[in-house]
Amino acid sequence: MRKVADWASARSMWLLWYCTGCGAVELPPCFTSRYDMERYGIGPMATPRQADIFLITGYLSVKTLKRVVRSYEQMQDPKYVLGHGSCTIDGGMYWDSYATVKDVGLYIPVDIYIAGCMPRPEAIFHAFEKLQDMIKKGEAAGWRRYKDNYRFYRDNQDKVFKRGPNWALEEPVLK
Amino acid sequence: MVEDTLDHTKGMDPLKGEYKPGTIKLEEALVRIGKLVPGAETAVRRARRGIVKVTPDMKDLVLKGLKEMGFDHFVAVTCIDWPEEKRMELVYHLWSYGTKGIIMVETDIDRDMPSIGTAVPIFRPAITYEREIHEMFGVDFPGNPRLTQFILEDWEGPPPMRKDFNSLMYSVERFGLKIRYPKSLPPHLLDKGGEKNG
Amino acid sequence: MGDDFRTTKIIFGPQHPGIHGNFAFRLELEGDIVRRARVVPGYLHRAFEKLMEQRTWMQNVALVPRICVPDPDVNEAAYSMAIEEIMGLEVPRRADHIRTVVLELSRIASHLMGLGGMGGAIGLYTLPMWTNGERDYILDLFEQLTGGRVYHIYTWPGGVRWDMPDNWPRKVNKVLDHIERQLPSYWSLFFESKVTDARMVGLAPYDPDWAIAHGVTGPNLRATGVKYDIRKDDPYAAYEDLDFEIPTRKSGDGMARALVRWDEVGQSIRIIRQALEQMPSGPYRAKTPPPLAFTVPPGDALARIESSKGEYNYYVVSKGGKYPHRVHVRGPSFTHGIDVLEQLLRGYEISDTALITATLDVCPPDIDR
Repeated sequence: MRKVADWASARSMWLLWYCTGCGAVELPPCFTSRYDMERYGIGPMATPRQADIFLITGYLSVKTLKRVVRSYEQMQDPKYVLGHGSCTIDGGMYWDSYATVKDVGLYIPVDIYIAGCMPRPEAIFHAFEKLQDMIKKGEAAGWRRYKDNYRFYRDNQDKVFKRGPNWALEEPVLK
Repeated sequence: MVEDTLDHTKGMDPLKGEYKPGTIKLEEALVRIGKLVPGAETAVRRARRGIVKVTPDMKDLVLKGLKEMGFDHFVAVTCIDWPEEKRMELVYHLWSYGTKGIIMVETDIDRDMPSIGTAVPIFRPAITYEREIHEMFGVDFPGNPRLTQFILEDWEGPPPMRKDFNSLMYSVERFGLKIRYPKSLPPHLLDKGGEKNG
Repeated sequence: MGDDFRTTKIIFGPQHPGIHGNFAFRLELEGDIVRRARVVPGYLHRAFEKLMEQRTWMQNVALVPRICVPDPDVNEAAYSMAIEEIMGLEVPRRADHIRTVVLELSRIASHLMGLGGMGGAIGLYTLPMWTNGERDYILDLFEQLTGGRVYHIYTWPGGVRWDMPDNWPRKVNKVLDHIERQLPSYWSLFFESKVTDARMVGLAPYDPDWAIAHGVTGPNLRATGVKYDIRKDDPYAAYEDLDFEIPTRKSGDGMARALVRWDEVGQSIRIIRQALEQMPSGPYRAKTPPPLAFTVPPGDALARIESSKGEYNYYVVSKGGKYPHRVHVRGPSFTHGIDVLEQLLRGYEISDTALITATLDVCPPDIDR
């Protein structure tokens, strides 16, 4: 039964609509008429509660990482993360910046990395096909790694940002 | 297609659509500002670029005077850190639609307790630029109603755009960056005791 | 305040289909109407200005296009122009014309994406499907010229990096013919629809005095009738030799801003065709120091360029030596996206928030840099 469910879910994946960085400019060509993504069964989804794939398009600043972790934890299992661009692998072009994280795999589990700056739509589709194969074989298990090694991920996240009960609705005055 | 019901072009020259036709030239504006403000040094850099250098207490007089002469588009204000000369420099860039030229107003402020009056009552767009300079350089603008958190969140270090702040060493400590080719970097960044000068 | 139970405070956050890029609003709503708005930038902060001080002059040419994602050539050109002014370099005329063609192609691509964004904010998803498809043909042209689809790293101090391929002008003309044939269908789809009229006419209007007092530039200012364009008033590249008009509209509301961008696409096509016909022969680069030992004498310069979103200013300060001392990037969305947007959103419904942001063409990367 698991195999049938995997086969079906590999063919209808919903991509969370979150343009986290500059790699997001290659997403409109993927969605629209030239490299139509919908023929693969992939479509955009507005809410994380019903999305399957999280595409981290490009670098992550520390402020965005906090929201990405929150959205990732709101998604339901099974969920897959794709790191899009060289900035997710080791910091890319902003390797000495004080505001971007260097290796996304330390903070949330990544299933496939796509190299490039930025990757062409054909490279993104290649990654989606590979992800479909991995799902059918049962290898895409990033969500299980997150639950089993939660302490590791949580320690790395706490080094970089603070978790709070809610966000302030008014901006704090500096100094 | 619905026709435009609002029409703001009534006061303009219908053939050219010019907003405020030019009356004075850039050199004439510099001469007038030199006479108006004591201690101002003026210069023409090239066509359509002029410079006025003043002391910080004369800044309001210069900005108001230039605005009355037609320089009413506030382009930007830049802050430059000169650590060896122990000063910070603020440059206000103003453009005039009539004269079609830029005048850059330069002032120097102290580096240890940097503070200068706000330009918001004269030019409203300065409110966001001063907010950013306050966050990134630590300059205080008394009178600005919006010196609140802008781009950085939960930032506990020193103002990051100052030359004392070493962002490479910060990345190594905080994000676990590994430096693979130290010979390709500017040498002053690898000084582990922090930067001495920029 | 006394009416605490009438208003709701929400965060219109970064993960939302109505947000272009990575941007958030804090809104205070009464029912559906926005009473107060505060913009939260900073999600895309990469500290460009700090990084530019730690890389050599030529390495920055690769770093700089990432500041404005839909319209990246403007950044390379402005950075190069500022360095050329400090060094006193004279750019050859052929390089000026090639730079003009590249800048105008980038402007058409950015306007097509912006119009698609406006269509998406209304709910007309056919428009972004079509315009992003056309924009892809322009990205193919860039790939033939420079090797990269989105970030080109082609314009650098002294001129351009290499010459155009011989058959490239013919391909550019073919793509422009194709776009001109498609323009009437966009007009009838978007601008003749009653839904667009109902939503965009009268949306967030302002008059020229208010616009200039708040630092509005670019097509947003030309929508109120002010005929101001840096290409005519403070010319750079090859614009002095070319013949084109500055389109303006009268009413300063959302529909006028969209129509100004529409007209500019037609004018850009005209500029590109003229520049390719008049292309002079000659060198495509001036003689510069070798890239690994590139030094710039002390001085400072302000370079200004009219991008598709507004006015871009680069203020470069050099102390002599291999690294810049300070590079200040002033993007158009710094004024449009924060103070102007917070004042214009008041009094409109929450469903218009995304539409007002799209008509002002706010691009979050150049606020945060």
